[in-house]
Amino acid sequence: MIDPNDTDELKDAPLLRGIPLHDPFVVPDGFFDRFPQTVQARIAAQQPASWTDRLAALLRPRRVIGSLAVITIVVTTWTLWPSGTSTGTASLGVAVEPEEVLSNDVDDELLFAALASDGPLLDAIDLPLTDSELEAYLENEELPLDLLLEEL
Amino acid sequence: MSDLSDTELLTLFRKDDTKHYAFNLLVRQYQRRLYAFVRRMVTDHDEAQDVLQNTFVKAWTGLDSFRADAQLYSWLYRIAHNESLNHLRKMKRGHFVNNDTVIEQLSTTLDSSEHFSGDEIQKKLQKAVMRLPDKQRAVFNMKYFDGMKYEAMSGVTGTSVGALKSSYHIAVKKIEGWLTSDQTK
Repeated sequence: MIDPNDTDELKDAPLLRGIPLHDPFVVPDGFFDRFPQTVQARIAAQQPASWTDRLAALLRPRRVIGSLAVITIVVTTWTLWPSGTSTGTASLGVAVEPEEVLSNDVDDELLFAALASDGPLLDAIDLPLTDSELEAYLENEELPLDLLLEEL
Repeated sequence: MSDLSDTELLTLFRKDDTKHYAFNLLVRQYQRRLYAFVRRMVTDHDEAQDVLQNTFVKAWTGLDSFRADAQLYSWLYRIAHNESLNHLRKMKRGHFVNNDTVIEQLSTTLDSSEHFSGDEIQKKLQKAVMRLPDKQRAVFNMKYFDGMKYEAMSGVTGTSVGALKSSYHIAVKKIEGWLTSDQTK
C-alpha cells in the first residue's frame, strides 16, 4: 500500500490527508488458511461428473436392488403371461432342449415307419448313408431314439 | 514458500496433474489483496467471502484462455471489481431498495460488526466512502487504499485514465465535504 498522502491530489482535503492510512476491517482467525479449500470444494461441486462417477452413482446398492426387483417383476410377468406361442413346458420357466421336446413328442414306431417309407424326412436330412443302410443300422444297434437324434 | 511468478503458475495450471495444485497456490497468493478490496466494497465479511469465492470460481473457468502477456493480478482484480459491483447491484434489485437504503444497511453492518478495528475517525471515513456511488467508490478504494496507478486502474475498470482522475478528484472533494460537515455537527 503506497501512501496517497504523498500525492498532490489530497492538497484540497486536509481532513482526509490527516487520517492515518489503516485497514480497519478484521478477518476472522484462520480464514485465509481455510479459504483455498473452500474455493476448491466449490469448483469440484460445479464440475460435471466423470463417467466413473456416474457409473458409481448407478451402482449404488439401493439403485441396484431396485433395478433387480423391477427386472424380476418384468421377467416373471412375461414368462407367466398366457400367450398363444408358448408351450406348457416353457410357461413353467424350465429350460427345455429342442431335442428333448422332439423326442418326447414323437412316437418311435411312427418314426421308424416314416424312415422305412422313403418319405420326405430322409430326403431332408443330409446323411452319408443310404436308406437301407440306415434302417439296418437302427435295427442292429437298437439305439435309443434321443441318442440317434443327438448324433444327427 | 515464496510466491511463484505468473508464468510459473500458468505453466503448472496448464498441466492436468498440477492444475488444482497451481490454482491452490494462486488463491493463496492473491486472496488477501483481493479480499481487502472486496471487503471495502461490500463491508460485511460473509458477503465479502461470497464475492471472493465467485471471483476465484470465475478465474478457474477463464484461466485456460488467459493471455500470458497480461498481468494475472490485474485480471483477477478486474473480476473482483466486476463481482463486487454485481453484488451491490443485486442487493438493490433483490430488495427493491434505493441507494440510500443500501448505504443505511452498510452503515448498520459497520456499526454492529465485530470485525472492525478502526477508531471513530476510521469509521467516519468508511461511512463517507459508502456514500459514494458504487463505481466511484471502487475508484476511490483502488487509488486511496490500494495505491494503484491510474493506468492499472484503467485496465481493471475499462475507463480512461482522464475519467478516472476526474472521478477520484470528485470523490475526494465529496468525502472531505462530508467529513467537514460531520465534524461541525
